[in-house]
Amino acid sequence: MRKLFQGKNLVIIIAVLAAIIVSVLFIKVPMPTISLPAEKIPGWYLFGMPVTNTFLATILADLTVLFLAFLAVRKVQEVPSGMQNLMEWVFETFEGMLTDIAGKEKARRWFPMFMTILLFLLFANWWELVPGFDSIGVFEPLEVAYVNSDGTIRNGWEKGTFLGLPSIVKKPVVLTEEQQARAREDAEAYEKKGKEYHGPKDPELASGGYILIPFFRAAATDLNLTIGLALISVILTQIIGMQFLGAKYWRRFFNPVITGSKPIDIFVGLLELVSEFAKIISFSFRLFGNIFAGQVLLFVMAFLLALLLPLPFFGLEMFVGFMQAFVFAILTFIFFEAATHSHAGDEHH
Amino acid sequence: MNQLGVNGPFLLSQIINFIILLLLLKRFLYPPLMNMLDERKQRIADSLAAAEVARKEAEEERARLMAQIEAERAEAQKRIAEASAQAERVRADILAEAKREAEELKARAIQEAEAEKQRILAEAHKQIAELTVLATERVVRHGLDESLQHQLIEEFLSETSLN
Repeated sequence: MRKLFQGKNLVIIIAVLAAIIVSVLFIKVPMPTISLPAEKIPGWYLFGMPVTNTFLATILADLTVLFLAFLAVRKVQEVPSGMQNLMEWVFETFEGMLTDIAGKEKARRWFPMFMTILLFLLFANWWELVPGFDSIGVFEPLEVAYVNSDGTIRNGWEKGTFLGLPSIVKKPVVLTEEQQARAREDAEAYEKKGKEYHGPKDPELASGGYILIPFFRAAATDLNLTIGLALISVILTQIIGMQFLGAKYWRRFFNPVITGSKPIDIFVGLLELVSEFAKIISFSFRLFGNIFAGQVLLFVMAFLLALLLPLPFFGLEMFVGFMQAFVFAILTFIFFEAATHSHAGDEHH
Repeated sequence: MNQLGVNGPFLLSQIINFIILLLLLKRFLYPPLMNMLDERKQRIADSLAAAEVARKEAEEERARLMAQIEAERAEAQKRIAEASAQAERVRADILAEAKREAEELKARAIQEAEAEKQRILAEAHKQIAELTVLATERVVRHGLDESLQHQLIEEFLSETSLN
């Protein structure tokens, strides 16, 4: 205790205090607009389809994985080094784990699926932690002020500069009383018509505020990705079940009394069928929820205190990012394995 | 679903994206590395087996050499023991011989001394006898009176003591 305020410790303590003071006084991080759907980057189209920032992040994750794969197989050596060594270690570790679960043959067979999900999601999730991700983008003028369901007005931020760079600043655009009242009226009118309200169309109500649409946003914060992966996983599970058990596989779900099964079997089959669909939901929302929450957590921490405070949460998100990737991959593998047995064991959720 | 951002084309693009990634990795990443892992595993197993064989051979060779060395050492030990026993025996022989010779020499010396003594004694006897004869002759020649007798005896005695 006596040495707490001496030497290095003192320097560290002063630096921490300075960081806190600087971030409170000078670095005002606006709360980003949090929206469930991925933001479309204005003016960007691909095959006539708008490009979303999560899609760009997906491509980025793809390229990362492919680049690492390229490094690993550029020249395969008997005595491995660098990326080849790392990849081999990863492969060997996980292949051993899969072998423990399903035996050598099946582990080999489904290893590519497992590893691709793991690598892809891992980098998709970890990219979120790279500075600039989620924070570099284009300014989108808000055409309308949003009225929340509780009647409060939500609107954009003012455009300003930070360290000489254009930036949105922590100062929401304030609507005049009149504008607010008209926005509310509009919202009520929509509600009466039973339509979903997306803000007044009246250009006069344009708040003039801006939101930032980042070029990249964690790929797994887009339900399209997670549902897509879940569909692939569940559909492949059915295909594998049929490969291993043939038509008998469907007896898991459909046990008509004509085949001599007991009524309880019909009920169990029904549960199995429902759980098969529930898998899609649980797969996709587990991943989406965790990564989305992580992203919001990082936003909020940076919003509260720009320096230092987000640091431990970056560590946490690194762990969560790996864990979610691993959980998705290993559950897919376990479902594959379970589909090959005619009497399904417990569901792993 | 629209509010969640789920949307057919986006969903499809994500599915296609993943399938392409899966196929690419399945084609280019997994086979070479997994084959390399298998090969290396095989090679390691082979060389471990070979090493085991070599180790066993070395062990046997070592045991053989050790036995040989042990035998040689025992042999050497035996020889040393024999040599020292022989040396002991030779020493004892030499000692005994020396003692015997010394005894012999001593005995001969004593014998010679005895003989010399006897010879000297005999000589003395002989001279005494001769002197006695001489003295007797002288006495007989001159006749004997008392003073002469004493004189003669004195003479005789001085003569004999002279000898």
